[in-house]
Amino acid sequence: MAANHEHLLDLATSAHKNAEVFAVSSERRHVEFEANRPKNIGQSQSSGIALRIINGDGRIGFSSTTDEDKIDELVDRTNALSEFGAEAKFQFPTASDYPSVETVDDATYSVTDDQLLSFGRSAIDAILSEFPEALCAADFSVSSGQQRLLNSKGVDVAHSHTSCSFYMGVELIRGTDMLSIWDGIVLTGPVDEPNADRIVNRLLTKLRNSQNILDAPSGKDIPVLFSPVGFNGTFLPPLLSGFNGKNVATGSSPLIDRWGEKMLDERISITDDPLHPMTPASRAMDDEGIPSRPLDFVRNGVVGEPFLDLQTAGEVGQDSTGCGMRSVATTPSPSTSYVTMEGGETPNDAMFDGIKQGILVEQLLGAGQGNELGGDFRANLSLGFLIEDGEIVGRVKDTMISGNVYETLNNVDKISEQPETVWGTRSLPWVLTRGVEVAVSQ
Amino acid sequence: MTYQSLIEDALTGHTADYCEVRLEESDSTRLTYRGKSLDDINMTSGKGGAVRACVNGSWGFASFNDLADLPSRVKAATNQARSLASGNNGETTMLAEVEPHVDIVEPVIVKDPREISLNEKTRLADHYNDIVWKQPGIVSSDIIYGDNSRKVAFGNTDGTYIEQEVVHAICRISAQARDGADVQQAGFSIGALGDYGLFEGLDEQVAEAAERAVGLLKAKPLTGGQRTVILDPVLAGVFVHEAFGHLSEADNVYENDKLKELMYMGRKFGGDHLNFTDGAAQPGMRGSYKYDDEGTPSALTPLVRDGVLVGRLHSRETAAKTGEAPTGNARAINYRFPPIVRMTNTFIENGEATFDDLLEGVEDGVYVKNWYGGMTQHEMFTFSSGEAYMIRNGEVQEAVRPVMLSGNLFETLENVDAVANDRGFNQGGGCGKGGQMPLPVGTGSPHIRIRNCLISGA
Repeated sequence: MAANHEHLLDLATSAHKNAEVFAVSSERRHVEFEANRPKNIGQSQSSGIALRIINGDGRIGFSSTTDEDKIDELVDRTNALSEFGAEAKFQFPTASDYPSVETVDDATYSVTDDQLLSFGRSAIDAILSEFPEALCAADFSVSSGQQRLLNSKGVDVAHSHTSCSFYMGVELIRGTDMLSIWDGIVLTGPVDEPNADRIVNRLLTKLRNSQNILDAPSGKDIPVLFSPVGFNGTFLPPLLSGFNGKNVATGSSPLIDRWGEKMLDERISITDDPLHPMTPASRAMDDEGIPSRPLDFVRNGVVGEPFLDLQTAGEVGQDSTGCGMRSVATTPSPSTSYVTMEGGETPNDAMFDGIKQGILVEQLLGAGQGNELGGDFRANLSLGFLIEDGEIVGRVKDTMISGNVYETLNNVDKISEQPETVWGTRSLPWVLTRGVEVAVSQ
Repeated sequence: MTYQSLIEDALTGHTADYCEVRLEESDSTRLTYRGKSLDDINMTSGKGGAVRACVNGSWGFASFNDLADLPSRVKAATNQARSLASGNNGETTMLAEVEPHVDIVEPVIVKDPREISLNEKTRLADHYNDIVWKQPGIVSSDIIYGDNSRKVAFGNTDGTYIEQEVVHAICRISAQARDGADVQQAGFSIGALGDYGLFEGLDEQVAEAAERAVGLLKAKPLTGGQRTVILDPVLAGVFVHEAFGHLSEADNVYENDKLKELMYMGRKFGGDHLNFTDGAAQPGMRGSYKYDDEGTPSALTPLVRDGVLVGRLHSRETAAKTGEAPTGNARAINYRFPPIVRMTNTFIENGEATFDDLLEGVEDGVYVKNWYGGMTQHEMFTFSSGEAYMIRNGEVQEAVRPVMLSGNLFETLENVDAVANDRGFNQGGGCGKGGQMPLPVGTGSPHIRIRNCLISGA
């Protein structure tokens, strides 16, 4: 379809001076295990193309298709839509020098279905050897994708990426208690044995810690420890919504007028780093052709800058921060890549020390249903543990946590030295907090 | 070539135990307003296909945008299924019998959204946005209107060939108010099958949402803990979907002996006033259709009668493996995914109480209305209200900040102690499962009361 890209750009440019073509194609293979057995195996091929224009009145038109026969209709349709489109607050960029960042491992897509199956079998065997009554589900996939962006200002850039993902879930039913634990990783390169082993070992540790179900304490003065996965699920969605260019441009972000102010504990520094090599989110440029760069969201507790695409940058009178991301069917919108939080002062294995009675938050159920825009978080603990005298003594159930990210991250006791990778796109430490409200069903 | 002959040719000479081909065309239009102006207007057309083959109980699946050479897609999916099956000793393909159907199903249309001009759609959205911004204290608003049509040609090796088209329209409107770092929002989400009319006549609802958002800045948060709650029909619909619906999807159960022991037919889950039903055969709702994505005719399936488990939702495979009848609940959100067991329209049937009966005797409770969302993990579930009001001495009083409710299937259903007789419907929801989201679903319920329900602080 490559020749079509230029043709489409020419067609659109002759009708309008300002046009942009975004084309993607990808392949993916995956195997799925259900109830300890391989169940599904699949492959997908996908491709699509999107056209965006700025018409003579300065309005945006956008349309896309996955139907090759309809590419020629795109120009007319985009043109018709632009009559109603939003006012463009930007110009398409000219070509730039892009930083270099590794995003492809040729070995990834060479992993065979048989190799994926044998990984799955050995991971499941490792769980079953200790918990024979467990039911395991697993999903392995490899994918390879290309995208190309062309615009009427001379940008013509291609980006390729590979990824390999491995997710595993374990279910254990005892009486009417149904324990469900999952873990996983996404890498640019193939998931190798040490990676798979680490996930299996984390699952086994959580299963061992879940053997007793104990009553959680309730109230607002309980020490609550967040694992990196728990921190990610609880705090990042409400926090990042405040930095999202869309919410900044509309004025609904609580950070408006507070850039440069210290709002969080001074040990907290959070960065978005698209140039970190070989993560599933690594990229040299965004999907609008703007060079990527790291962004400081929070530096020593002080709020830094929002993440913006071209349109939201224009709306707030700044330059794009290179964060315009999109699928083929949608217009670009501001998006983060690889979000990292710096480690703190406490060795990771000393994070439990001194906790007389507290809660460890691992997995959440229902996070994101509350008023995230205001920084609120609340969720049921789908996997949480009771800590007594510095040790995990059992699992807690029917327990909810709630609070506000701007209050809780100002009430931090300890931060672990070493951050850990979460789902391949985050690197976060363990964090011990106070002031989170814990509600328990008796 | 017609889709029918493309599919028949592709399936000729197949070597799987079972094989199906789906070819789809879709068109969608979406308007998004953010703040005072239109943010995005977007039309997308799609075309793609999927092949699914079963050999000795193992499934191979391929999805693609390039529809050339379907026979080789059928071969590839079959070969993959066969290679997977070689490691599964002794498994056989088991699919419940479904009589082959050849049918063409026209879309349900009340007022065709595809025939309304963009001019009119943007005019109306502008009008609603103006109403939101008339309310002092509003700092931002979101209006999303979308319609889409999906036309599916489906054929399988049992001789079924169905062409089926559905047209959906959805609308979400929310208003945000801010006081310093305190941001509150209020809104609603609605949907309809083939009816642009859902987007019309919303002036009052929009104004009320804007007013509510501003009012929430002054509303007090509740302390977390257990309380008596009364759910309005919208939130009670989300409750039955989350608290019961997901566990009645048989793919959770059919290979899980422990769960089968818990979810056995005849188990009592609560009082005689509990009656739950799911079905796509209920006409005119967003979860309604004539055939599911395996070509099985839709039904209305009683799940709970008089508090007792009497049925569950099936694909052809889960029906065969549990020895129950297929219910037409195998759904795929589009050609990129295989069909899996899903809810359609899920109902709590009317009881005998009135809303006033539910309020009577509640000394310190919460009336929760409307929804933000909900989630289930087996027996645990959470769901969030869009509005919450204190109940004191049997009367609904001041608004408080919306709350999240949480429960456990085996306890919470027993705590539902009253069901009213005023069933209402909600079609604004989209359900997510196995990466397939948002799948159109509907719910219906009267007001219900739950004792000792765990609510979060806010």
